[in-house]
Amino acid sequence: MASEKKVVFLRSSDGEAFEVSEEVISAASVTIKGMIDEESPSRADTAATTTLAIPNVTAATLSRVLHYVNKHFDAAAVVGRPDDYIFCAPGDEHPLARFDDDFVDVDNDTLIDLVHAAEYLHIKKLFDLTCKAVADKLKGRTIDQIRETFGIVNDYTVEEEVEVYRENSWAF
Amino acid sequence: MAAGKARKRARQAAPASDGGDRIGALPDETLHHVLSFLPAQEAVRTCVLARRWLHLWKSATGLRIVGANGEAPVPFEEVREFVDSLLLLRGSSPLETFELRVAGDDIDVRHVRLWVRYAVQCKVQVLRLSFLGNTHVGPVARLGPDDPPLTSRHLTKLELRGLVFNDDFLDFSRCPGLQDLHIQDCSLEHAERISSQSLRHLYIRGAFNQSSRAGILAPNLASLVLEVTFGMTPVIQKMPFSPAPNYVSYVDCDKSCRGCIRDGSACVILCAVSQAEDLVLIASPDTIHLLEANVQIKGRFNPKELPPTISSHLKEVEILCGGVDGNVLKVLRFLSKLNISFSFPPI
Repeated sequence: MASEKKVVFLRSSDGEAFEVSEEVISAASVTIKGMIDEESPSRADTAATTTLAIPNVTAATLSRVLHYVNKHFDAAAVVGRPDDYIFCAPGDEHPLARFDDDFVDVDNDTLIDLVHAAEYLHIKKLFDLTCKAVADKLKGRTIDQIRETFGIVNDYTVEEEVEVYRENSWAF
Repeated sequence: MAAGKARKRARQAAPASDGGDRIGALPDETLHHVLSFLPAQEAVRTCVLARRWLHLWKSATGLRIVGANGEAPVPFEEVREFVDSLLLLRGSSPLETFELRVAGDDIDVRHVRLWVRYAVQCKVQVLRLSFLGNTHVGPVARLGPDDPPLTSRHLTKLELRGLVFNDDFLDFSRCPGLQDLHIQDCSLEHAERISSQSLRHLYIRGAFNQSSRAGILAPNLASLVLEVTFGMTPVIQKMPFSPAPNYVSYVDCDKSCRGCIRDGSACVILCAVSQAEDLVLIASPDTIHLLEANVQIKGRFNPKELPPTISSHLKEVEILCGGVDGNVLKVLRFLSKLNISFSFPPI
């Protein structure tokens, strides 16, 4: 009965529709799984395809997210392999580690769009990956460098800043 | 909403350094998660960036007590006061992860246990504790005989390195959610058993007792990597019937099977896995190469002709190897004695 793979369409905030396997996206995104579950009673069990509006995510970001999702959650691609370190010897690389590294090797704006999307779509693995990538951009930099990289404006008064440093001197 | 979109468009067209604090516009919860991936010192120091950042570090969902580059261990005495202040000042915000990677030849384990207790009270789910000696090789953090086992409803993953266990620390009956246990370069010579009802994945590389065999009681185990660097291979309770693949990797200390053969008869490891229906057994330290397999050999056989030492559940044997060498031929010769025929799939 369920021999044919079901697909759903996701429509980005700027109106572009993307096709994705229902099974794959349901495994990946808690948010979309919830939308599909909500739709299914009203959905005719025949040919009708579902289109879900994703109002918070642009086409550019959504296509990146789906690239990630298809790589990480397509059961056919990861079958027979435990998800985590277990099957890898110590020091061995996870098979998707390089893909992940390349995936987040993007400019700050693109990365932050991905963080927003992962959070909205509730894709825990992608949220972790992108938050860690933001942290990596903060890591090892001075306070001034961080402000410059991310366009953070120092809105402390001079007195306040001195006070914050004094309060937290234990960490410097 | 529309204005926000227009602003974003404009920014995308402009070069990256066009101002606009997009990181500061992320929700608090997201920034708490970002900070959890930074070494704790750096996470706290973000408080001076701008007003937006003054208190964010206190709610970071993870604490990483590590060295300067974020990877190396940090000297214990150097970080002790910092961690005490940090834990006192951050209050009781919940934690997902707590990672401690310290170095020293004389680490005050009782002090560390207070930190761990704090993390457990903050409902920590993933706990990583690593102790490295400065000059001393081998485990440096010795648990006292009275140190109790961990008690946590929230703990799912535990990674331990450089510890000397007492006899009952590895009893996880009070951690009903524990799924992953990773023990590396530890001494299990005093450990009588490793037990957990919930455990799914177990990795152990360590030294066991030379004269008495420890036991592994984990009825829901799905994968096991066991590397015995010294002493006797632990007895493993039979792994359950499981529809999912079971993974077992075993590396013997001296390749002579001395630690593994019980009473000169049955192999401890094979006994443990005889109930598994779908099993990947790796008996080589070179597991990395196994993942790059380019030859697959499949065989079928008649279960009725099997010798009694082979599980009656066995239906299919698949050998993955980098190339057909002397060792592989030995395995093939052995299997051919069991009337298993082979085919080589196209590469």
